[in-house]
Amino acid sequence: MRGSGKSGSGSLPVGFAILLAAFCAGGSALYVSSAGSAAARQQLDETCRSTSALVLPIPFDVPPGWVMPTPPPGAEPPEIPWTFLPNAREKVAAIGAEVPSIEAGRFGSRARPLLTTPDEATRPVFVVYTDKLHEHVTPAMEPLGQGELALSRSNAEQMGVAIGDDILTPDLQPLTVVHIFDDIAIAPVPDAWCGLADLVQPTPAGDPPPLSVLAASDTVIELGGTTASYLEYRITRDPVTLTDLEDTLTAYAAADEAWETKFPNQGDLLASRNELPRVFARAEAVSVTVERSLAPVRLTSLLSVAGVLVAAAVLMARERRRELRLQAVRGVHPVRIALGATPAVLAVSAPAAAAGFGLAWLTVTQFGPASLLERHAVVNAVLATIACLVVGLVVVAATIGLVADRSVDRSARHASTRWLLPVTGLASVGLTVWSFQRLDSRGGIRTFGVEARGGDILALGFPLFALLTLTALAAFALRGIISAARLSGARLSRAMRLGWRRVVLEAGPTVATIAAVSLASGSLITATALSDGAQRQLEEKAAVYVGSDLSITLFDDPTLAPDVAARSTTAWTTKAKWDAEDNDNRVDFWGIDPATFTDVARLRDDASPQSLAAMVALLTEPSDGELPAAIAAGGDWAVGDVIAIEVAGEREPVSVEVVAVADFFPGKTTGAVLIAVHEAVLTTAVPFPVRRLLVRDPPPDLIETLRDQGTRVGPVLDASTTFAASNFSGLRWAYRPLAVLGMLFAVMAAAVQLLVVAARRNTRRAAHVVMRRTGFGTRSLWTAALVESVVPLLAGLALGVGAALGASALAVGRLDPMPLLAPPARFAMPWDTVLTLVAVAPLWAAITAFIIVRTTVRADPMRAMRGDQ
Amino acid sequence: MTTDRTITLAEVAACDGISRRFDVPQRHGVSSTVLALDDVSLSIAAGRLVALNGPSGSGKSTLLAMLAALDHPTSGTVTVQGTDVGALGRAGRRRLRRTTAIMVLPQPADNLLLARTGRRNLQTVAALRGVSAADTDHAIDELVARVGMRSFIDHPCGAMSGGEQQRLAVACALMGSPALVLADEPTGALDATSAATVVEALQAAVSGGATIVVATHDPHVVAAADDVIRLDHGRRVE
Repeated sequence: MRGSGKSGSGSLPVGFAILLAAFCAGGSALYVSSAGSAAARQQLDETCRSTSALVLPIPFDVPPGWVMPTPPPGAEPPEIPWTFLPNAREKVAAIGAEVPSIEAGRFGSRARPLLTTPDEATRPVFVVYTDKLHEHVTPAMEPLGQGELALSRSNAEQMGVAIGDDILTPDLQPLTVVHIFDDIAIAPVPDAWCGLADLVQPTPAGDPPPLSVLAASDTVIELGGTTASYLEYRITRDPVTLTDLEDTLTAYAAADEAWETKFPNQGDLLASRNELPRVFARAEAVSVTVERSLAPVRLTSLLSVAGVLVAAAVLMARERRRELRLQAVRGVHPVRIALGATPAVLAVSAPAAAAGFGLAWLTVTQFGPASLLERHAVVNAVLATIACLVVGLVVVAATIGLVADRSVDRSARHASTRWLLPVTGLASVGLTVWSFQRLDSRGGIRTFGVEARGGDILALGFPLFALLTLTALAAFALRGIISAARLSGARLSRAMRLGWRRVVLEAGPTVATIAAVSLASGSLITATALSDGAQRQLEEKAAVYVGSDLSITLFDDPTLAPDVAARSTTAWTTKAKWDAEDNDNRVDFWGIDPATFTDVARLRDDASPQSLAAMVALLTEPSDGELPAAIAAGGDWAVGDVIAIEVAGEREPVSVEVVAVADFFPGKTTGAVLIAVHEAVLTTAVPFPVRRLLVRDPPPDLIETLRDQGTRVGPVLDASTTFAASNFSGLRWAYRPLAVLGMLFAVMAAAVQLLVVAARRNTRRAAHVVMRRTGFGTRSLWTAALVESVVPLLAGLALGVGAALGASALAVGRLDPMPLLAPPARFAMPWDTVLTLVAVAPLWAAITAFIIVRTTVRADPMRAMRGDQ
Repeated sequence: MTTDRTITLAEVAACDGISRRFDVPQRHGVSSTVLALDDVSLSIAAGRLVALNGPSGSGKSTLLAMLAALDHPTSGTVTVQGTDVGALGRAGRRRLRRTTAIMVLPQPADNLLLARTGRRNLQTVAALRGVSAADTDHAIDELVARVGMRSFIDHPCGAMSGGEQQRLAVACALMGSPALVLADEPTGALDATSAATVVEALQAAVSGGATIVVATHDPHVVAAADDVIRLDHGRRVE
């Protein structure tokens, strides 16, 4: 008698495949939800919280029985004795309490009486109260009392008041200035003040904002009938999902309805515009974009996992071939055989599916765009996991039944599956061509302002489909080549020949390994090329859009510290036309300082055949009898062309001669042609040009420093944040799963190779027992094992990297998210990933060889010969 | 076509001019044909131990596979219990393998579920062949006694020796009194002592009324057989 050893490892690969399937199916649902939550949060953060808040007015009314008297002709209308409706604030608060995902109500009030300052000037001044606003000024101040005022330094200067001065109301009641605080920041306006941005930001023309002061709520209410009081319910700062946001949006409408019911005939007080619907729509668009981009990834991963599952099921059947064959020989129905194997498969698969779901959940919540997930997404992910488990069990059971049936009935063995690969290959080629046509005509994800649109599923799938197709075609060709090479390698050394023959002996496992490695390496390359490419595109477009790291529109001459001045240049700009009869005749007319511009501005090398420095050096100061030199960016201009630029308000056009042309130029923000000339040309010809200060590596407090100096600051563009909005994040989120897919394929490739190693274990052990007697030592075994593991690995790597680079090179340019904004998307070789793969491949080959050697030499020779091990 | 078969009243199985060709794939997509059986006719009488004898590659296993509905002849007909096997569908062939023509494979371990005990194996087969639960224990005791392995019946099959496994395989094959038992090289993987016990088991089974066809080149089995059919290069020579 001898010991019985039954290997239970046959079902482990099946469990592994189901784990991967659950990870892919569950993870994709969770990832879309995560991206939706992140987009919702980011869109909310990008919008002033006061404009997305629910603002419910607290209505006023006149005392009961009061009737509006008819004023005598020419007389001022009588003052209306407005009062709050009884319990109005409580009623409004009750409405607000019903709205989900909001903070506690913030009471605010605003009036604009005519106030008389100590210099006896009377002018309209906004008198404002908002709960806790006094906590958000510097230096800090206590809550204001009745008749007290606080105002910013600029307002104090304009009104000519100091602390202790009195300002008179229309009723000649004195209001005392008790506090003067620093001007509120404008780039950006702080969260607490964003609802009052119109009172702190200069106008687009650079004029200061209207005068304003802070006062106690009672003071504001006493200041007259135009007072508007309200409760502002801002959306919570906690993470929110898209569903939360939609619920809040619905609750806003319900709150408005309830308000109108409680306060009839006062509906005109309700705010007519709220940003939340736009916020929701934009966040939803990002979520949809990510979902669409994920569809081909999901399809590809599930198809691949299905392949691994079938391979694992076949391996499992091979491990149980004695038992299956016996049952088939005994005439057991294949369904019954399959059902008999199901409990053992289920015992491994159910925990594997749960683990796959858990892994997906962990990955998305820890590494995804946001950790907050929709409840329905979690439910969908669970259902997808269960579906994977059920489908997996059916596939495994069917495979076992089929293998068992074919093991005895030779008539069944003749059912050929040779048609499968060519048909799959042809379908794949068709899909790839179709997706490329869609990509070429429709492009990928496009960003319009703050919205992300597009994202055609088919078009976005092109790189993956191309990779799959090239891999499938190569696999088809390799099958024939490997079969034909079965007896090759005769001139190799004995050990190398053994390794080589194991590679070419069975085409199926070798092709499977090559395909898996190809898909893994190809996906990683594609992921890097597209994801990093998208990031680089945004950075390059931002650099052109801003012109440098920072662009500040100024309305006064700035005084800059020497180190900042050394990294700055001033450009003068205006909008103009170059041909009044043409509809598309807009020109961005720039005057630059050739001495400093090239030290500050940046330009990609493909913008022009000439470098930026060479082009700018051609710009000369105006001189009599010569046309000013100009650089034309965009349009069909050629060197030597003369352009007549019509500047608004000037009778005579400014004629310039093109000395250099470029496709794009620093500061080019639209499709309009940009004409750059020497600054002296523009400042002479244009009466009121806009001054833009371009700064490289700006200090963080530059804007505040300029404002402290009294310099009026207009719009600010920062290259690091210009394209950091959620729509651009959506672009990055859309490509991130590709990297996960690459990792998934890498795991699959490793699994496939280990499965092949495991499948050949018994024959290898038996052969080694014999060969050891003929001087085939461990060193030779190592050589053979290395050849066996390295050859498919390198072949797969070469195939995957080549296919992915080709597909990415075709796709990157067409996936430009903003094709109208220069510079165009450009493919860049993902060297980091390529070199990493090249470094990892030999390491993995060595590990595989180690496993081969270890499992071979550790076998019991007698049991190996009998095939028991 | 030549017809050598002898018609008997108690015929269990018969082959009428069967041939079997195999396409063997060669390099560069070219395949060649091997004729494993060439116009073979025979008749198996009930209650006999029949030895199919011949050198390796003579077609013994192929012939057994035809009788066990595991393979189709390229030409000719195979009849088991009066049923034309070639006319059966997949379900009919499975039913034939399950209840009528029982195959014993050459490797002892291939005939048993090794993780289970001998008794559990016999119970499984009994259930498959429709032996009632009430009769199963009695049938097991009888079969185990007939093949002479009562002492190991409750051990896991994986722990049994090759001879024990093959005797148990014969017992399993005889469960439910099938019309025909087909044993392919049942002693091929065994030592002489174990082989002798298997031959004894086969003889005991035949004396109990079973019909057994054994493909073998073991002279002891041939000597013990009631009838011997010799094959060479796919043809019946005796």
